[in-house]
Amino acid sequence: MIEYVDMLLPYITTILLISSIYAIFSLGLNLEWGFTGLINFGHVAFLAIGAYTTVMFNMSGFSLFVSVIAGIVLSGFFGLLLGIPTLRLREDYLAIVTIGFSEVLRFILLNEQWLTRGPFGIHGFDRPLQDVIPYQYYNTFLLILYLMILVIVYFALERLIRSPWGRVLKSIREDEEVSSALGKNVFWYRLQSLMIGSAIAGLAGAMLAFYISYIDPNTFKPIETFHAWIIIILGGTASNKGTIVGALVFCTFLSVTQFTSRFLPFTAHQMGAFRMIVIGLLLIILMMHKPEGIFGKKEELALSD
Amino acid sequence: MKMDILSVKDLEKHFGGVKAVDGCSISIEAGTVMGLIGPNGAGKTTMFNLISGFERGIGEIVFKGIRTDNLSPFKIARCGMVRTFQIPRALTKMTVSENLMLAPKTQLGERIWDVWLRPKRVREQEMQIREKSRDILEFFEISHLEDEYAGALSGGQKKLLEMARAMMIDPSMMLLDEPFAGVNPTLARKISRYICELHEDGMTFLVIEHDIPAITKISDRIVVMNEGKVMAEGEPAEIKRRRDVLEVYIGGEG
Amino acid sequence: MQLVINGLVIGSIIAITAIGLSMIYKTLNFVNFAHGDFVAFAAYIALFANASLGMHLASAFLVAILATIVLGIFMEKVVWHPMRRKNASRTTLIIISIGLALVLRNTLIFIWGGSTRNYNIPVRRGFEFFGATIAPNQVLVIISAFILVFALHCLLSRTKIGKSIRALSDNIDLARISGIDVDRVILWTWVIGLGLAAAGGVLYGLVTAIRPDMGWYLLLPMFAAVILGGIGNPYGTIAGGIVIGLSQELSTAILPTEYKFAVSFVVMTLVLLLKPEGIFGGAK
Repeated sequence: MIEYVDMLLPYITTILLISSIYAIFSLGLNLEWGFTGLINFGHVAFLAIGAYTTVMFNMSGFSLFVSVIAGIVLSGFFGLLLGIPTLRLREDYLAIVTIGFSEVLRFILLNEQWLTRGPFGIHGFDRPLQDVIPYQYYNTFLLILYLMILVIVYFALERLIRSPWGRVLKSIREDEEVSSALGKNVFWYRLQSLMIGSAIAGLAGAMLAFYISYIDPNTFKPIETFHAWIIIILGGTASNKGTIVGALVFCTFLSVTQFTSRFLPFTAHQMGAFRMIVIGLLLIILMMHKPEGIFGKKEELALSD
Repeated sequence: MKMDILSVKDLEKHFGGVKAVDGCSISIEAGTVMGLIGPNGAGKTTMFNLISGFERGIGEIVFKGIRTDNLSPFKIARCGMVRTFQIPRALTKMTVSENLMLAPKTQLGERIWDVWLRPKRVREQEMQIREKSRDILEFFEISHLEDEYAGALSGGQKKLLEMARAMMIDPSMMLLDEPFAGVNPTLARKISRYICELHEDGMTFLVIEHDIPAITKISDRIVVMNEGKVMAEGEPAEIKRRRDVLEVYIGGEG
Repeated sequence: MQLVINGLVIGSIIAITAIGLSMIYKTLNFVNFAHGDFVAFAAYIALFANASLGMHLASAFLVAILATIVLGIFMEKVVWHPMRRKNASRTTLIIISIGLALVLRNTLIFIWGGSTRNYNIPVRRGFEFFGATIAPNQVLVIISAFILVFALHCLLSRTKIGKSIRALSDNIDLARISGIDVDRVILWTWVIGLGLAAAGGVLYGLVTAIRPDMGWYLLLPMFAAVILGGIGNPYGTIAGGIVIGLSQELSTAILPTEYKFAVSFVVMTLVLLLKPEGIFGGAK
């Protein structure tokens, strides 16, 4: 019995750790898509910028705290850069440009070896309080830290969307002409939303780097963006609580399918593809039949259509 | 001599080959009600869109001494000019009170850092805005609807909501697009009373309307548009006497 | 010279595949993120017919186009048409198309694996042309692209269905009032758009290795071509495709080859910044 607990506990810790990272990553996207209606298909780029900036700042001698702040700020800044050419135009341009950006960024990370060590990845950077916490408790410590960060991010976002700022966002999503007729700078609000969402993704990137203690460009494939999408849509668009629940459900699903793969007659390659097919189908079916998400309420759905 | 609050000079707008607005000039004295009438397709709504910045044309628009023909709609609104839409556009997924509270300019709580770091000040200002919204709802006699979702309102109530919301930004001029259209006679009388009362307080209005008797009653001056051009301008009594205006209306509707 | 020829080859592939993307974008008013994966799908069907069933590549070409069109019609009936009925927002359709892209690509990986493949055709020596080596396949691609574009031009300008398609992409409401059977024309738009995409996919397989993500990586250049040419303007898209293809290849003279892909991104972002309605005429 005790042995089972010994095996189960680290397993649960791992799932919760991954869930909390995904939850924060997805909360950023939920601000952009759920509350503002921006289609960001390159969200993973900001995860990568956050992770790489944090790690590289740390490797060049900055303290962890400064490095994480740098990661967050730079992610937000790139959100600004991508928003400027696209957010004045139709909503689909942002989707195209962000997805392109995330792939171009991955190419840069792969090829500019002098900067990023390319495909070899980076390891050997500091982790928070690594000298203080005994190794066997480190993940538990990280989990507590991450849950605290999650709570802070959650409440910061909730306060924001319930404020007059969030009210403007809501009005833009429903009818941007009315907002501008009332003197609201629609473009600027969208830009702010994209910046904050990207900065949050940057934070998630730093957290991811600390957790896996090794990053390489292929950690940041486009599929990560769609994981976040699935999490939001599962949990109910425009619900921060739903997003957190969605992250937990999704990560559990991921690790359970890793277990069950032993019982399916697929190769590892096929298993990966199979899982992606399931995710794709889920995305299609949810959007077609239950766009309010599994845990969302229909009345709260406020997509613009 | 009184100041012109708005002056429009040689305004033009083409859609493909069609001239929707073709060299219009009007000016409005501060504190007056100007009626804008004309048959369907005369270019009245396009005129509105141009003045409020929702469309770009050629020509000069000066509002309170500021060139506004190149400004975006939100900047024009911030100058103190607010418009309503022909089909009222209430934000249906928000409550009536949220609709109103959205409008005031320079809210502290619209800045992220203040939301996070100065929540108390933001709350105080919210209280003030709420008070103001209650006063305005009272003026328009829709206080009982405060907590309703705007989507649940009737067409006439939405019109009132739109005017109330516009009042929240303390405008110096309001553009009303057909305030009496599709409204029952009782409500129409109320709306014209509200306009008169606000007018007495010094508000300037530019009102598009099809209901000639109603508009002549509330207006100080009337502009008649036809085929993108200003065909007549003058006091309501003057306009009523003009045969050509009458003909345009009968011709346009026949 | 070599780069110019390579650029023309890849450019003509981008051009014919992007036409469908552009037409669907304008008529149905949403960006189909699965378009590139239809391109890859066609290449794999051709590969299957050619390498596994032993068909001649020309017949495999036709089989692939047919199969892609059938799949496209199936998607229209099962997904797009019902969603239009429900008045789904543009963003909903975009997200569905991403889901579809994931399903399509991973089905290819599931069946054929992630490694690169080639058609079962004899490798012929290229010939010299002003100091550049041109492979016969490259000539084939360019000639086929020309024929396809010419056929498309005849279709759009001469036939009734072509005129309806253009009317629809000009103004869907107007087309509806003037008695055009909108659903039928939309179906034809899919058929032509995906038919061209499939043709482009099979041709692409001639000059590059066949991989499940070949369509995905073509998506960005295609978007760039569409935006450059003005959405819904087939001739602009063709010009845009050639320009993108050429600038991708020519960029390798000064940049590492890996950044070919980034060129279309940069071009696209510049166009969006400076002239978002497109450079070649734009959509009226």
